[in-house]
Amino acid sequence: MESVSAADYIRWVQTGPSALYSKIKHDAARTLATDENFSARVDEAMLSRVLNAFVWKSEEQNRTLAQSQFTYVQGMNVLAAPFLYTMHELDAFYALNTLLHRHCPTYVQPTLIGVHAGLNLLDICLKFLDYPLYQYLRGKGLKAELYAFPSVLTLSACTPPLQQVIHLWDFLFAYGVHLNILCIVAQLIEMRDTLMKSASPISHLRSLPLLNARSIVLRTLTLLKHLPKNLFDSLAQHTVDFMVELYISE
Amino acid sequence: MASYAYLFKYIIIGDTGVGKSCLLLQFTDNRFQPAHDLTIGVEFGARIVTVGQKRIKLQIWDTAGQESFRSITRSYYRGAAGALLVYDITRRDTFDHLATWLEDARKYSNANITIMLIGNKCDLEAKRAVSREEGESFARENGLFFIETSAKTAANVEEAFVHTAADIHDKIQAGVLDVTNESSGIKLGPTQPNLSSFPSGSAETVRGCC
Repeated sequence: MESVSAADYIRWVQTGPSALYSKIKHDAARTLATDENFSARVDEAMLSRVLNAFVWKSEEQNRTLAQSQFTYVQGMNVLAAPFLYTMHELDAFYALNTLLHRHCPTYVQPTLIGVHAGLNLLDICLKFLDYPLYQYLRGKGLKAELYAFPSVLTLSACTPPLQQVIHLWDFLFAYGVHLNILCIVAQLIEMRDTLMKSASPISHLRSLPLLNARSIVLRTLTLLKHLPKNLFDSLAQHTVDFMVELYISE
Repeated sequence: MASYAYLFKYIIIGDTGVGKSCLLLQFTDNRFQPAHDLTIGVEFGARIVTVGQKRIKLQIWDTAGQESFRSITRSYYRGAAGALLVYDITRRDTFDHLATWLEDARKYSNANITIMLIGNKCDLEAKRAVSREEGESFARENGLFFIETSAKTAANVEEAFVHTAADIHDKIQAGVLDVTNESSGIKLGPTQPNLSSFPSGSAETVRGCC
């Protein structure tokens, strides 16, 4: 982050409710609502202000952007949460902005184009890294789209506990947020025995087991070594390249 | 214990915040969670109900309401035998959007899908913005079942799911729905003794590479 302007942030906040404000307010109330640590530290109003200011800032910026259009989409509320949990509101706003604009712009478009690409890549990576598990889930009609949508869109922030999310994000920010896809594969492999023994694996995938950042990171780094270069390249591109859907097919 | 005669697939649709996930949770777990996380993509639940003398497993896909998720939602219509179309009786706009939802449902689902229109949050009578008559008349004009529910008090929640199942069951009895066709949203349960020796899952085919 190169600079942070409090004056700008205050200006966007003072502009008042955007067209999406009622939606934002509604969603803010449903953000990590079951996490008591989060609701104790982060006020709903802070979350609404940050997201609403993001909408105003985006409207100013969209005019100069060719491929992308930024606005509020559901899921952004969860992406904002770890920042607000660890930083002051002003820093959280700019950190969120950097994440969305620079590191995963394709994820937060109204079409969620990057998320769909990420889900395809998740299927492809699982197929490559653990074919029996892939085949078993596929036989049950389970594509990543059905069980991994929240984990992809929120960069795993939807899976508690938040303290572990923060450790996982430290890793993702150091190595690249695209590796979240492999972190999800790592989580699936950790529970593979349970999944493969279950006649109804979807019931175990409704929500993933509690995050353990350390073991996920270790496993992800191992998986990474086995990934072919072209697949790694697609992975690395999919969060930022708007042509991503053109070169991903199973 | 896990045996059942049929499996019916349901989809729950409607605007964001109308209480789709809460209806599902009340139905599957008999509880109301006032602080509920926003649904991202699709969530899932299942429960067995009894219709007539038959045990029927309901497999329910609960979809996110926001526009961005519409392309995902659409992929669930096909292969659903029942749809619960939900609005919030305290928010007029959620009722006004029903026509759009219905248009999508008609376009992407089976012609024989059973649709139940649900006016949720009927415990909030003081905040009511859509009359029961309006709900009834929309349902009548569009050939839908109608019920008002409260996911909070559990009022009519059971009825909404079971009544839909009864109608699907009637359609099977009448020969309108073909249980051998996967896209009907219905499967025969694993109760037939001659089939029970099959290890589950292994008989299904997997789409080949590419």
